[in-house]
Amino acid sequence: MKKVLIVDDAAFMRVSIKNMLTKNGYEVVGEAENGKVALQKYQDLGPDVVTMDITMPEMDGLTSLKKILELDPGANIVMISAMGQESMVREAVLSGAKGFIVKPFKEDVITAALNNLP
Amino acid sequence: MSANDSILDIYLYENGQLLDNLESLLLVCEKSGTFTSEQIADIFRILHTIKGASAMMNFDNITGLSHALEDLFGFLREHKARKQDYRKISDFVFSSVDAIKAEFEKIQNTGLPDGDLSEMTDEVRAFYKVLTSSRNEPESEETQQTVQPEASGASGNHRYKAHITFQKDSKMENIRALGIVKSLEKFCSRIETVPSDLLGDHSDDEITANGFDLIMDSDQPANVITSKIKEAFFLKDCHFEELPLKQDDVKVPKKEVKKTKKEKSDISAINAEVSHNVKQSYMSVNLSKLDALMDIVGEIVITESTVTKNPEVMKLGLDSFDKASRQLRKLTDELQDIVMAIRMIPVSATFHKMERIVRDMSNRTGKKAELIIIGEDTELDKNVIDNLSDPLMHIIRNAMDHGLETAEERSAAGKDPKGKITLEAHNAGSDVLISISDDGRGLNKQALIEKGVKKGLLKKNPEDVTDKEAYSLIFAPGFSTKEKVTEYSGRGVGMDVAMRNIEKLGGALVVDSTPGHGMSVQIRIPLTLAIIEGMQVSVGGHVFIVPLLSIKESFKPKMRDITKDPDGNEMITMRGSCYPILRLHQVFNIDTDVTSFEDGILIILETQTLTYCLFVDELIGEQQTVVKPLPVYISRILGSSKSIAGCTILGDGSVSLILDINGLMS
Repeated sequence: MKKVLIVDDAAFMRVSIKNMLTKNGYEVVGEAENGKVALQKYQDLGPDVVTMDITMPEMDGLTSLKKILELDPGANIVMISAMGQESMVREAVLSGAKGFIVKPFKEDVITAALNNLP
Repeated sequence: MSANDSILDIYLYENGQLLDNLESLLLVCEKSGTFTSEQIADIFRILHTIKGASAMMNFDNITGLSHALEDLFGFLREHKARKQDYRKISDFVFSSVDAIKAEFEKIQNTGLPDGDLSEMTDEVRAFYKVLTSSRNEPESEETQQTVQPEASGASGNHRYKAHITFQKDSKMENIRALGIVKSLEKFCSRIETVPSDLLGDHSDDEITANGFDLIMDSDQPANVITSKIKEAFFLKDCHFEELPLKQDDVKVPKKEVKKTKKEKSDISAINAEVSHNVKQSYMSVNLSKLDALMDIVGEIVITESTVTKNPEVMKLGLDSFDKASRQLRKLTDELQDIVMAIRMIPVSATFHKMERIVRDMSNRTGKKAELIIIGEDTELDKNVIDNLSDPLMHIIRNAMDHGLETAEERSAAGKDPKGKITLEAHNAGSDVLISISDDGRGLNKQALIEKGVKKGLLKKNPEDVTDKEAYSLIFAPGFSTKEKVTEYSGRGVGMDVAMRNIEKLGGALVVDSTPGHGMSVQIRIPLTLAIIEGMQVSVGGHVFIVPLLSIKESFKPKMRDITKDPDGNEMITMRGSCYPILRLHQVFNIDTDVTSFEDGILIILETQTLTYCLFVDELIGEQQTVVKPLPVYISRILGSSKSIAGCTILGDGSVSLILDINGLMS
């Protein structure tokens, strides 16, 4: 079972994503409410996949993405973005994010995306 | 609870909190007269989060409104607005907060958020248009940038072409295309795309309509390239072919990637003034779980007594059992202390909510006023706090509407033109005292009395009415001295409802006033769930509880000690002192065979003000009792006679009334 770390500052989003992924054969090994905690938890938990929100306090998703990739260039990080965040998504993609999904999304969308990862 | 229920609860809780934060933040901005870039960024982030969550829940109206506001603040992050615009902006946000809160209430009551927010949303969008049109084009994100793969050393010996389309609605397809290009970088010496500029203004639409083409020079076999392409999300089709290669087509370009203008990301902590909302190490707990916990702990206390005070066990006189019982008792005491403490939260959130009320009333009445909060860390049971905000709101609205004078009147009277409303809370023994005072014109005793007479609310002679009695008329149902009924008060609805709500909490209200200087309302609220040591007594088969603390002693009286005073009241003489006797069976009109003093028991009770004797049939025994408030319909019947303090459930399941020994004698 693929292990997932969910990163989003909204508890609502974390729970929503957790429910969706758990129903589809993923194991949520941890949650983080900002990029800084995400960085720490990535090292502690070693997940197979990270879902990374972009707008977060303390350390945003883009910065966290870059820092995690510094530690682990092969990390599978999927950005969760909103419309209107083109430049941040672009930078994320160019920095090595494996892909992105756009809010709002339904269960099949996030599942298809994660299933596509190697 | 199904998974869906909890998602909704979290949505409502988290976004409700965010709305409160937004409101507080905005009040701070209004007070200081400016929006700092930190504050704008925080407001933006809150709106963004609410929009995102509401979209996930398909609450389209809320999504639309928060989106419009988010765009507004997104613009404000990069551009300053004029001072008068900020005023309009904060009004927009406040109205929106109210509208969204109303939708949340609907959802909370298992309804749908079906409110029409389109008008408000349109207004915000129209305003946004005005703001943005009076500027140059909003900053374009970055200068155009093309990505070229770095030279890969060896020139490729294959040329491939792929025509790629993405699934419908996958969004930002030009960036997805960019992602694919990036992932192929290390395999290709050269990559070209059609459209050539993936970041141009219309590339997204173009790719959505027509897909995009990749032309790659690579030394990798086709399957390496295709499997890499297939790693992209939401791919619909990939039409892949190898193209014939011409020698001079192979190039090793060296173009640097232009640096992007770093997007400002103001991630900042919320202003310290809003400290009562700072995240601390708390967790949110479903209130019904806490209620259940409270009830069970209460039952445990009762049951613990039933076990340890079981007459048959006590007869056995087991030392080890007694020791264990004492330990058990110690633990249940600690348990009940902790459970009570869990439910206690500070009044600060409720008090600060009143800032919004003062602000709104200030705007609508044209009277400037400031709210001063003292003792906001005072704690009250969560239930009480939830029911406190409505009464506080009514009282403050009333103070602003009727109590405070206009700025001119105030200046003429030598007062600061800005009115002061003081909201204070502090502990007083087992009660909490909350006072709301203003420095307005105070109450007019004469006018109140006249109105009281007119409405038939006054039972006494007007001359005999004390100040306090006149003032408390404002809480009588249907009362209002103002000829003009304003939108907020004067309909005689608010204040008496406030009074009833306070009484429902077991509290009491007292009004005081100094003409010309202001009025104050004092609310006394008991901390709920008291557990008291009581003595069970019976009269005519009915069991009552007398608080053990008040009992001095009990004994079987001798007839020769009983006398009557000049008014015919029974008295007993004991060790040189005379105490009045109260027959409990008479107080409640209970039939009992025990009417002669020698057949019953006298209990000497001591209150703050006097000592008297209570005559009952018999004493049953000590009992630790959980005090539960009387149901409202019973306390209404009892009315002003305060003979019962509450009720409790005995170990055998029967209900017993707890006597209020102060009230019994009056």
